[in-house]
Amino acid sequence: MAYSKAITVSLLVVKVLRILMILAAGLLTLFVIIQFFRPVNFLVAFPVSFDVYEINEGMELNSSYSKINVGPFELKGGNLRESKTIIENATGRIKIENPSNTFLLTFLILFLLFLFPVYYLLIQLKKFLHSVEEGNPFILENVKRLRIFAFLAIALTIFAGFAQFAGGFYVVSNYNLPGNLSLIHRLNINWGLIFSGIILFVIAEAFKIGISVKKENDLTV
Amino acid sequence: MAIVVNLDVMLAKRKMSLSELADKVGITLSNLSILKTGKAKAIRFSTLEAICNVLDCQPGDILVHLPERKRLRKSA
Repeated sequence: MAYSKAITVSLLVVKVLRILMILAAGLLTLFVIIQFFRPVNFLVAFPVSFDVYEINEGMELNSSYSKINVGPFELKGGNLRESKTIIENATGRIKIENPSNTFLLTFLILFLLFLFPVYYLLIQLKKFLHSVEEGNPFILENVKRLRIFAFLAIALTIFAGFAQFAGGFYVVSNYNLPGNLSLIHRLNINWGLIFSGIILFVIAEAFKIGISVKKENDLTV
Repeated sequence: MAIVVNLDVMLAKRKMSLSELADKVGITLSNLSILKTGKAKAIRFSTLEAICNVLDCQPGDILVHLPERKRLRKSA
Protein backbone atom coordinates (compact mmCIF):
# COMPACT_ATOMS: atom_id res chain seq x y z
CA MET A 1 0.00 0.00 0.00
CA ALA A 2 1.15 3.51 -0.74
CA TYR A 3 0.94 4.76 2.83
CA SER A 4 3.15 2.07 4.26
CA LYS A 5 6.10 3.43 2.27
CA ALA A 6 5.79 6.73 4.09
CA ILE A 7 5.74 4.85 7.38
CA THR A 8 8.83 2.83 6.51
CA VAL A 9 10.71 5.93 5.42
CA SER A 10 9.65 7.80 8.55
CA LEU A 11 10.82 4.92 10.74
CA LEU A 12 14.16 4.96 8.99
CA VAL A 13 14.50 8.72 9.46
CA VAL A 14 13.69 8.37 13.16
CA LYS A 15 16.31 5.66 13.52
CA VAL A 16 18.95 7.78 11.76
CA LEU A 17 18.09 10.83 13.86
CA ARG A 18 18.47 8.87 17.07
CA ILE A 19 21.90 7.64 16.04
CA LEU A 20 22.97 11.13 14.97
CA MET A 21 21.80 12.61 18.26
CA ILE A 22 23.75 10.15 20.36
CA LEU A 23 26.80 10.67 18.16
CA ALA A 24 26.54 14.45 18.45
CA ALA A 25 26.11 14.29 22.22
CA GLY A 26 29.09 11.96 22.58
CA LEU A 27 31.37 13.98 20.33
CA LEU A 28 30.42 17.27 21.95
CA THR A 29 31.01 15.96 25.46
CA LEU A 30 34.35 14.53 24.39
CA PHE A 31 35.34 17.81 22.77
CA VAL A 32 34.46 19.90 25.82
CA ILE A 33 36.35 17.54 28.10
CA ILE A 34 39.41 17.72 25.86
CA GLN A 35 39.17 21.51 25.77
CA PHE A 36 39.52 21.64 29.54
CA PHE A 37 42.79 19.75 29.50
CA ARG A 38 44.33 20.69 26.22
CA PRO A 39 42.72 23.78 24.73
CA VAL A 40 42.61 23.90 20.97
CA ASN A 41 41.88 26.99 18.90
CA PHE A 42 38.56 26.74 17.20
CA LEU A 43 35.74 28.80 15.88
CA VAL A 44 32.19 28.60 17.07
CA ALA A 45 29.39 29.83 14.88
CA PHE A 46 25.86 29.94 16.08
CA PRO A 47 22.74 31.81 15.07
CA VAL A 48 21.91 35.07 16.74
CA SER A 49 19.07 37.35 15.86
CA PHE A 50 20.08 40.94 15.99
CA ASP A 51 19.12 44.42 14.86
CA VAL A 52 21.76 46.49 13.15
CA TYR A 53 20.81 49.98 12.31
CA GLU A 54 21.95 53.29 11.04
CA ILE A 55 24.77 52.75 8.66
CA ASN A 56 25.91 56.21 7.71
CA GLU A 57 27.36 57.31 4.43
CA GLY A 58 31.04 56.89 3.96
CA MET A 59 31.14 54.08 6.44
CA GLU A 60 33.38 51.22 5.56
CA LEU A 61 32.51 47.68 6.35
CA ASN A 62 35.44 45.32 6.61
CA SER A 63 35.26 41.89 5.17
CA SER A 64 35.15 40.11 8.53
CA TYR A 65 31.71 41.42 9.28
CA SER A 66 30.60 42.65 5.96
CA LYS A 67 28.25 39.84 5.26
CA ILE A 68 25.11 40.74 7.06
CA ASN A 69 22.02 38.91 5.96
CA VAL A 70 18.98 41.11 5.87
CA GLY A 71 15.98 39.15 4.74
CA PRO A 72 16.47 38.50 1.04
CA PHE A 73 19.31 41.02 0.75
CA GLU A 74 22.94 40.52 1.51
CA LEU A 75 25.11 43.50 2.30
CA LYS A 76 28.67 42.93 1.21
CA GLY A 77 31.71 44.94 2.14
CA GLY A 78 32.67 48.25 0.64
CA ASN A 79 31.87 51.90 0.97
CA LEU A 80 28.29 52.92 1.41
CA ARG A 81 27.98 56.28 -0.16
CA GLU A 82 24.23 56.35 -0.09
CA SER A 83 22.28 58.01 2.66
CA LYS A 84 21.36 56.28 5.85
CA THR A 85 20.51 52.65 5.54
CA ILE A 86 18.62 50.98 8.25
CA ILE A 87 18.82 47.24 8.60
CA GLU A 88 16.33 45.71 10.92
CA ASN A 89 15.58 42.23 12.13
CA ALA A 90 18.61 40.60 10.66
CA THR A 91 19.44 37.04 11.53
CA GLY A 92 22.95 35.94 11.04
CA ARG A 93 25.81 33.87 12.30
CA ILE A 94 28.66 35.25 14.32
CA LYS A 95 31.95 33.47 14.66
CA ILE A 96 33.64 33.56 18.03
CA GLU A 97 37.25 32.60 18.38
CA ASN A 98 38.06 30.50 21.42
CA PRO A 99 34.98 30.96 23.55
CA SER A 100 35.51 30.71 27.27
CA ASN A 101 35.20 27.39 29.02
CA THR A 102 32.20 28.57 30.97
CA PHE A 103 30.43 29.34 27.74
CA LEU A 104 31.31 25.93 26.33
CA LEU A 105 30.14 24.13 29.45
CA THR A 106 26.88 26.04 29.53
CA PHE A 107 26.33 25.24 25.89
CA LEU A 108 27.03 21.55 26.50
CA ILE A 109 24.65 21.38 29.45
CA LEU A 110 21.87 23.13 27.56
CA PHE A 111 22.46 20.90 24.54
CA LEU A 112 22.19 17.72 26.61
CA LEU A 113 19.16 19.09 28.44
CA PHE A 114 17.53 19.67 25.11
CA LEU A 115 18.56 16.24 23.86
CA PHE A 116 16.73 14.13 26.44
CA PRO A 117 13.18 15.23 25.64
CA VAL A 118 13.91 15.12 21.91
CA TYR A 119 15.22 11.55 22.18
CA TYR A 120 12.16 10.56 24.20
CA LEU A 121 10.03 12.21 21.53
CA LEU A 122 11.74 10.15 18.82
CA ILE A 123 11.06 6.91 20.70
CA GLN A 124 7.39 7.82 21.14
CA LEU A 125 7.23 8.70 17.45
CA LYS A 126 8.67 5.30 16.59
CA LYS A 127 6.00 3.55 18.68
CA PHE A 128 3.34 5.73 17.11
CA LEU A 129 4.50 4.78 13.64
CA HIS A 130 4.46 1.09 14.59
CA SER A 131 0.86 1.40 15.72
CA VAL A 132 -0.04 2.87 12.35
CA GLU A 133 1.91 0.11 10.63
CA GLU A 134 -0.13 -2.50 12.50
CA GLY A 135 -3.27 -0.82 11.24
CA ASN A 136 -4.62 0.29 14.61
CA PRO A 137 -3.61 3.87 15.43
CA PHE A 138 -6.73 4.72 17.40
CA ILE A 139 -5.51 3.67 20.82
CA LEU A 140 -5.28 5.58 24.08
CA GLU A 141 -1.47 5.58 24.10
CA ASN A 142 -1.43 7.45 20.80
CA VAL A 143 -3.63 10.18 22.23
CA LYS A 144 -1.12 10.56 25.04
CA ARG A 145 1.74 10.54 22.54
CA LEU A 146 0.21 13.24 20.39
CA ARG A 147 -0.26 15.37 23.50
CA ILE A 148 3.42 14.84 24.34
CA PHE A 149 4.43 15.89 20.82
CA ALA A 150 2.30 19.00 21.09
CA PHE A 151 3.58 19.95 24.52
CA LEU A 152 7.22 19.37 23.61
CA ALA A 153 6.89 21.27 20.35
CA ILE A 154 5.74 24.33 22.28
CA ALA A 155 7.99 23.93 25.31
CA LEU A 156 11.16 23.20 23.34
CA THR A 157 10.81 26.13 20.96
CA ILE A 158 10.31 28.48 23.89
CA PHE A 159 13.25 26.92 25.69
CA ALA A 160 15.45 27.09 22.58
CA GLY A 161 14.40 30.68 21.95
CA PHE A 162 15.39 31.75 25.44
CA ALA A 163 18.60 29.75 25.37
CA GLN A 164 19.60 31.43 22.13
CA PHE A 165 18.64 34.80 23.61
CA ALA A 166 20.82 34.14 26.64
CA GLY A 167 23.71 33.12 24.42
CA GLY A 168 23.27 36.35 22.55
CA PHE A 169 24.27 38.34 25.62
CA TYR A 170 27.65 36.68 25.59
CA VAL A 171 28.07 37.34 21.89
CA VAL A 172 27.07 40.98 22.08
CA SER A 173 29.36 41.67 25.01
CA ASN A 174 32.35 40.33 23.08
CA TYR A 175 31.64 41.82 19.71
CA ASN A 176 32.60 45.31 18.68
CA LEU A 177 31.27 46.98 15.59
CA PRO A 178 32.64 50.23 14.28
CA GLY A 179 31.04 53.62 14.25
CA ASN A 180 27.29 53.74 14.44
CA LEU A 181 26.67 50.06 14.11
CA SER A 182 25.37 48.52 17.25
CA LEU A 183 24.41 44.98 17.95
CA ILE A 184 21.14 44.53 19.78
CA HIS A 185 19.98 41.01 20.07
CA ARG A 186 16.40 39.99 20.67
CA LEU A 187 14.28 37.04 21.57
CA ASN A 188 13.46 34.88 18.61
CA ILE A 189 10.77 32.24 18.99
CA ASN A 190 9.84 29.88 16.20
CA TRP A 191 6.12 30.64 16.07
CA GLY A 192 5.54 28.10 13.31
CA LEU A 193 6.43 25.26 15.67
CA ILE A 194 4.20 26.65 18.38
CA PHE A 195 1.33 26.80 15.91
CA SER A 196 2.04 23.19 14.94
CA GLY A 197 1.94 22.27 18.62
CA ILE A 198 -1.52 23.78 18.94
CA ILE A 199 -2.67 21.86 15.90
CA LEU A 200 -1.27 18.65 17.39
CA PHE A 201 -3.33 19.19 20.53
CA VAL A 202 -6.43 19.42 18.38
CA ILE A 203 -5.45 16.30 16.47
CA ALA A 204 -5.01 14.48 19.79
CA GLU A 205 -8.62 15.31 20.62
CA ALA A 206 -9.67 14.07 17.19
CA PHE A 207 -7.89 10.80 17.90
CA LYS A 208 -9.83 10.51 21.15
CA ILE A 209 -13.05 10.75 19.17
CA GLY A 210 -11.60 8.27 16.68
CA ILE A 211 -11.11 5.76 19.50
CA SER A 212 -14.78 5.88 20.49
CA VAL A 213 -15.86 5.67 16.85
CA LYS A 214 -13.65 2.64 16.29
CA LYS A 215 -14.93 1.00 19.48
CA GLU A 216 -18.49 1.47 18.30
CA ASN A 217 -17.62 0.14 14.88
CA ASP A 218 -15.81 -2.89 16.28
CA LEU A 219 -18.92 -3.85 18.21
CA THR A 220 -21.21 -3.45 15.20
CA VAL A 221 -22.03 -6.78 13.67
CA MET B 1 -28.14 -4.67 26.87
CA ALA B 2 -31.90 -4.46 26.87
CA ILE B 3 -32.04 -6.24 23.52
CA VAL B 4 -31.30 -9.93 23.93
CA VAL B 5 -30.22 -12.15 21.03
CA ASN B 6 -31.56 -15.69 21.14
CA LEU B 7 -29.67 -17.60 18.48
CA ASP B 8 -29.45 -20.95 20.28
CA VAL B 9 -33.16 -21.77 19.95
CA MET B 10 -33.21 -21.06 16.22
CA LEU B 11 -29.89 -22.84 15.64
CA ALA B 12 -31.22 -25.92 17.41
CA LYS B 13 -34.42 -25.83 15.36
CA ARG B 14 -32.51 -25.63 12.09
CA LYS B 15 -29.84 -28.02 13.38
CA MET B 16 -27.02 -25.66 12.52
CA SER B 17 -23.77 -24.89 14.32
CA LEU B 18 -22.51 -21.41 15.09
CA SER B 19 -19.59 -21.63 12.72
CA GLU B 20 -21.88 -22.90 9.95
CA LEU B 21 -24.19 -19.96 10.49
CA ALA B 22 -21.26 -17.54 10.44
CA ASP B 23 -20.05 -19.05 7.20
CA LYS B 24 -23.45 -18.84 5.52
CA VAL B 25 -24.21 -15.33 6.75
CA GLY B 26 -20.78 -14.08 5.74
CA ILE B 27 -19.49 -12.71 9.03
CA THR B 28 -16.62 -13.93 11.15
CA LEU B 29 -17.17 -16.35 13.98
CA SER B 30 -15.82 -13.80 16.45
CA ASN B 31 -18.39 -11.25 15.26
CA LEU B 32 -21.14 -13.81 15.62
CA SER B 33 -20.04 -14.67 19.13
CA ILE B 34 -20.01 -10.94 19.98
CA LEU B 35 -23.61 -10.91 18.85
CA LYS B 36 -24.53 -14.07 20.72
CA THR B 37 -22.97 -13.05 24.04
CA GLY B 38 -24.69 -9.69 24.03
CA LYS B 39 -21.55 -7.60 23.61
CA ALA B 40 -22.62 -6.14 20.27
CA LYS B 41 -23.65 -2.50 20.29
CA ALA B 42 -25.30 -2.47 16.90
CA ILE B 43 -26.32 -4.79 14.10
CA ARG B 44 -26.55 -3.84 10.47
CA PHE B 45 -29.81 -4.50 8.73
CA SER B 46 -27.89 -6.38 6.06
CA THR B 47 -26.53 -8.77 8.70
CA LEU B 48 -29.97 -9.21 10.29
CA GLU B 49 -31.47 -9.89 6.88
CA ALA B 50 -28.80 -12.47 6.11
CA ILE B 51 -29.35 -14.25 9.46
CA CYS B 52 -33.10 -14.33 8.93
CA ASN B 53 -32.59 -15.65 5.41
CA VAL B 54 -30.30 -18.44 6.57
CA LEU B 55 -32.39 -19.40 9.61
CA ASP B 56 -35.68 -18.80 7.81
CA CYS B 57 -37.15 -16.77 10.64
CA GLN B 58 -38.37 -13.36 11.67
CA PRO B 59 -36.25 -10.79 13.53
CA GLY B 60 -38.63 -11.15 16.42
CA ASP B 61 -37.72 -14.84 16.67
CA ILE B 62 -34.14 -14.01 17.57
CA LEU B 63 -34.38 -10.52 19.07
CA VAL B 64 -36.15 -9.92 22.36
CA HIS B 65 -36.54 -6.62 24.16
CA LEU B 66 -36.24 -6.85 27.94
CA PRO B 67 -36.85 -3.42 29.40
CA GLU B 68 -34.67 -2.87 32.49
CA ARG B 69 -36.81 -2.75 35.58
CA LYS B 70 -36.72 0.63 37.25
CA ARG B 71 -36.60 -0.95 40.73
CA LEU B 72 -33.40 -2.81 39.98
CA ARG B 73 -31.66 0.13 38.32
CA LYS B 74 -30.64 1.89 41.53
CA SER B 75 -27.14 0.40 41.46
CA ALA B 76 -26.60 1.50 37.80
